Amino acid sequence: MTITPLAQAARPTSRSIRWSPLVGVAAVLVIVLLVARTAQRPSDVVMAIAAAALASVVVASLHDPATDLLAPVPVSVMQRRLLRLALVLVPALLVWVALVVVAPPSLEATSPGPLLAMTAVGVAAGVWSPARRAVLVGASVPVLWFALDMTVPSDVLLGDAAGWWRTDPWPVAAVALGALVAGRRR
Amino acid sequence: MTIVHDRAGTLVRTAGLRKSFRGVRAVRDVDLDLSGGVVGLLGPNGAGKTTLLRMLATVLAPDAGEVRLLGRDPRVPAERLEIRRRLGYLPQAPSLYGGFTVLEMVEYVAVLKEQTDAAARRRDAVRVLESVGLGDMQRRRIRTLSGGMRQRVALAAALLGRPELLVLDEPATGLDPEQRIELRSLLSETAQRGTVVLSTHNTSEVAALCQRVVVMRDGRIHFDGTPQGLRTTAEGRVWEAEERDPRAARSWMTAEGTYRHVGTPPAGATTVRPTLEDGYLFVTGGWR
Repeated sequence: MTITPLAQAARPTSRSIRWSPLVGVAAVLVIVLLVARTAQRPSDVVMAIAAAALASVVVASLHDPATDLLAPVPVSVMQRRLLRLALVLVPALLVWVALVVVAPPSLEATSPGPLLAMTAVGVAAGVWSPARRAVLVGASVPVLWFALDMTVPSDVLLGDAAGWWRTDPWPVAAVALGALVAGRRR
Repeated sequence: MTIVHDRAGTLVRTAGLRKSFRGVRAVRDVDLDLSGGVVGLLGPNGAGKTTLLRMLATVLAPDAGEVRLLGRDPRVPAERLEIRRRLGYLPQAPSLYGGFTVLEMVEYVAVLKEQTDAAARRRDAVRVLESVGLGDMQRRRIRTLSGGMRQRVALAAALLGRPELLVLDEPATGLDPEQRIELRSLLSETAQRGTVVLSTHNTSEVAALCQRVVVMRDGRIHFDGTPQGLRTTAEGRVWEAEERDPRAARSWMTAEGTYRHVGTPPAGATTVRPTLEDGYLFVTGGWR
């Protein structure tokens, strides 16, 4: 069983992660929301950007420079990726909570569902991508989906689907988790 | 630790091994039986050495054929785990975490190799670092190390836990001559209790270190035997002359200013004793 090695690996793994993207994205979002609050402007779009950007940062953290060296260790790559994911997702959720706190009181979208849905979609996309491009593809998907959501009119065929990650995040997350589980042996 | 041998003491066995990437066949029908010692894998770039080593390190699954490592089947997850517990692997040009110290990097790999006792893990990490000559660099950050030193850190990580099967992809890259000699000594010691499979472009490395040499070209094995056997494949096929001979398959100028030729010697040519490099060139040139 590899629980003990994974627990012991948590601290050094957290040190191997590049935290500057998360810190940078969080700082920019906090500033934007503070400005929106001062100017009494709606901030739901900013929170949508926050969900996609944070999800992208979380998925990008799965990039491990030492992958080749660590490839044949007994603690599998899937276990090591889950550990990295957990280590980054927790602070990302804390950032989300901080954003909700600093956002204007008129904010409606306070649930972290879109963030979790986009993260699950990104990880699932990475799992089903070629190994060498997995993290790049996975980190790109939340941003691309957000862009699609913002550009596709809702009255075209399947136009509503582009917004499901915001309007129905939990079913989207469930489908992505299913895809993730199905592709875990890849 | 018990070494599990396959049939007839074989630690590594492959049969009909194949691997392709996007239609390009990297490894074709490779049959190998390795039972200990240091085995050198020689071949030109693109010969399939790295692909074969990655399959022997359980990193890459073959498209077809059979692999058995330490008597186990790496396709079976539980058996693959057992193999990985007894395996050391040095990839080609490994990347490390620049912000870690040398000791932290090696200890991190030790954790992932399931060394859960902190004191024993520290002892093993210090042991392998000393064995690669980095005992006094434990507190240095990886980002401050030269390429050769980083290579030795990765080699130290591969040596953790005294593996029975050590798979090394060009381990001497970036090492100076003194470090190469130390590496030879280290690998010879490791081979006393298991198998070391290494790839290299350096025939003198093979001559000094390997009991067995496998030459690959175009994904296939073209020679499998002793270094002496490889040398003798070019027996009667190497000659030297004052002028370049256009009929020779390979010619190059030596340090003495004469031309050394490999191929079918012309009538009257005086053949010379072939070196391992001559044998390698003869085999990879396809004249065999």
